[in-house]
Amino acid sequence: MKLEKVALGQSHFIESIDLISQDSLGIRLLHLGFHINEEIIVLKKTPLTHDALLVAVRGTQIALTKAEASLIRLKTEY
Amino acid sequence: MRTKYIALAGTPNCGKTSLFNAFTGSHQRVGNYPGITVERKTGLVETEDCIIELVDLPGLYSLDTRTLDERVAKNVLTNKSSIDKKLDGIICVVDSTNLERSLYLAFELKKLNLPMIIALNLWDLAIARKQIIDLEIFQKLIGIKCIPTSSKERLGIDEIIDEMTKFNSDKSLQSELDPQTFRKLENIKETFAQINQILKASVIQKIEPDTFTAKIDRFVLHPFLGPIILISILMILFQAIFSWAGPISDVIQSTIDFIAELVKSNVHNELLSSFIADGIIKGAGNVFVFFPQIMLLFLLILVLEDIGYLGRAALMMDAIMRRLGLPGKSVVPLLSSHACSVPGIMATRTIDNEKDRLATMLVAPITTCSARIPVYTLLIASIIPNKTILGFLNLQGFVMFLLYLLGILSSILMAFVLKRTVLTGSASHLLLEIPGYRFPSFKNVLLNVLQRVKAFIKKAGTVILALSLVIWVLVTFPKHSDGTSNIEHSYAAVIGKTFAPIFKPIGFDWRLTTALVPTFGAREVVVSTLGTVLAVQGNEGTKEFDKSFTELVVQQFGVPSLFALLIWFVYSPQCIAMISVFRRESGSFKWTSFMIGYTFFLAYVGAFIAYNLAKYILA
Repeated sequence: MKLEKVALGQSHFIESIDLISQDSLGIRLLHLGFHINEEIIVLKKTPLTHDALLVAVRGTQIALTKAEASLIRLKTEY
Repeated sequence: MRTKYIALAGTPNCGKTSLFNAFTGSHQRVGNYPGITVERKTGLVETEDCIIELVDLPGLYSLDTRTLDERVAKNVLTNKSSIDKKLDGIICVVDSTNLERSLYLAFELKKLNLPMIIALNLWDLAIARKQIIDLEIFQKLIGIKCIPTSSKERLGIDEIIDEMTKFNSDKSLQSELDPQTFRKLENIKETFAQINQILKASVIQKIEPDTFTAKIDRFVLHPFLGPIILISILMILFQAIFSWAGPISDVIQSTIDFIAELVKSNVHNELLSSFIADGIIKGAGNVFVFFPQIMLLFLLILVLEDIGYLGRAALMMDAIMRRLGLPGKSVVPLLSSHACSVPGIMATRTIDNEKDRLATMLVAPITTCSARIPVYTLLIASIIPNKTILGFLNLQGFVMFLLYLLGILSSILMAFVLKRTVLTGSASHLLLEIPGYRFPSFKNVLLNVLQRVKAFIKKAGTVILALSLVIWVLVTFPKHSDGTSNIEHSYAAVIGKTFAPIFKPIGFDWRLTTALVPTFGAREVVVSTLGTVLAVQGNEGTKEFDKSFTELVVQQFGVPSLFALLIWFVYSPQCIAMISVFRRESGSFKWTSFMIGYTFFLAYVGAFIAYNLAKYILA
């Protein structure tokens, strides 16, 4: 399932990260701790537009746009 | 005594600069890396055995860099910087409250084979959140000496200084690494797996969640309250620039006027007294009068940054800014440009996408900087009646607001146009780490404010002072044989009269054209130049204008021309300090010329419309 579709506060796990369509962005996601099987929680969505998300991953809060979030696919179980 | 050159490296938001301040105190030097304006901060630490020159590098997540700041840090760390010496060692600053992620950089730096210590920074916060680590196991598994630090409590500072004196680098052992090393998938995965293992073996008690941040974010990032808080903070920033700084600016202005008068009454040689009082003292006054505004703006921005709010502001503004073609990160540079576009343009270096950065730099000069305030104040006082409308609104204040709005709307429109014409391409990434809330260290904030103000005065101040002296020469010379001077036959008038035909369609005569010449040095100079051109002495103040002066201005130039001048200054061609910063930041003469050209075009067209509209209405 897509990261941007996930409900707030629910715990999910990263199933895959698209490292091909935007190479440098995918690598930066990895540097920031986005890895397969890592737990991820969507904490907030920007008011009105919901164009950007705030997620908790690997002890850090990361803000990312919907386009960036679209590189990450999630699963419900580890 | 031997000097050791050591770099302080770490991820953004790990408290690296606070630690740097704790090491070096006020023994710091702030400059730029050659050709670019990425800040280069060095400081000295004196010990019994050696002098340590510490360089505070911009934050980076990895040696696989993306932004200009990161590239600069990487060049120093890999000894490829053109001005930095070869490193004797690295202090890698790691956020103890977030070891899971921040240890990654330490592992990359380890591969450089330089003497290194890990500073486990924000240790006090990690302890407060009940984290317990077996340090012995931790550093044994990492293979690097780790020292817990806290700049607030000065924890570990002396110990690290002691360790730095022992750094003995054999530069022949330093690794020449393949740049691809840091972007190889297997390397990244392996490092994170290693970090997981180390933490599993050494963390006795896991850190508690940051409930303090979560509680505050419930309001700050609330769908309804969040934007209200953001707007309130932006309003406070505006208030700080215009209301709080005003009285201090007035005191500075009065002091400068007092000193100038003192010189005039005590130096009896007319030319010398005029040179010192009108040229040097009042020229310097043109710099110092904006000192409170710049200082307050930096103070508030740095406090917001230290608290952890700026990232949240970028997150909330991202969607809106992105629709205009700019990233959320451009909010801070554009906001800073309301004080002065020099720091505003310098602040764009946090934007990683070159086109977004350029677009933000191009529109920053048409936001209303504080140098326009005295010009607006004089012209509004001259042509807008001081009366109340709708029972509560001061008309002059309302016009000032409209001019600000015009600046903001014009910059938004220009960003929209630029991103759809000459700067097409996808918007930069947001991908921003949002730090937890922290209490700001006022000592650090103050130190940083003073450094930035010093840099501003050095950069813009010298140009303004030099230009003020040039104006003095232009309006004072040539002198008649009897020693008197006549403005109508001065060098300034020669320039004004030469260019007057170009400005005639927008209602500017030779005197207004003459007054425009020095605005390339600093916009606010136009007020004193108008005063000089009209031979009105003692009315160059920036806030309070003598009624006779404003009446004289209207009488001499007429309302349509002054209205055109007001609109001219919304877009007016830019000052030399800003142009030089723009040239350095963009690295392009072409884009600098484009910026000057398009702002001149907007100013000319705007003034033409304003002049003819006013003429039509008054007819």
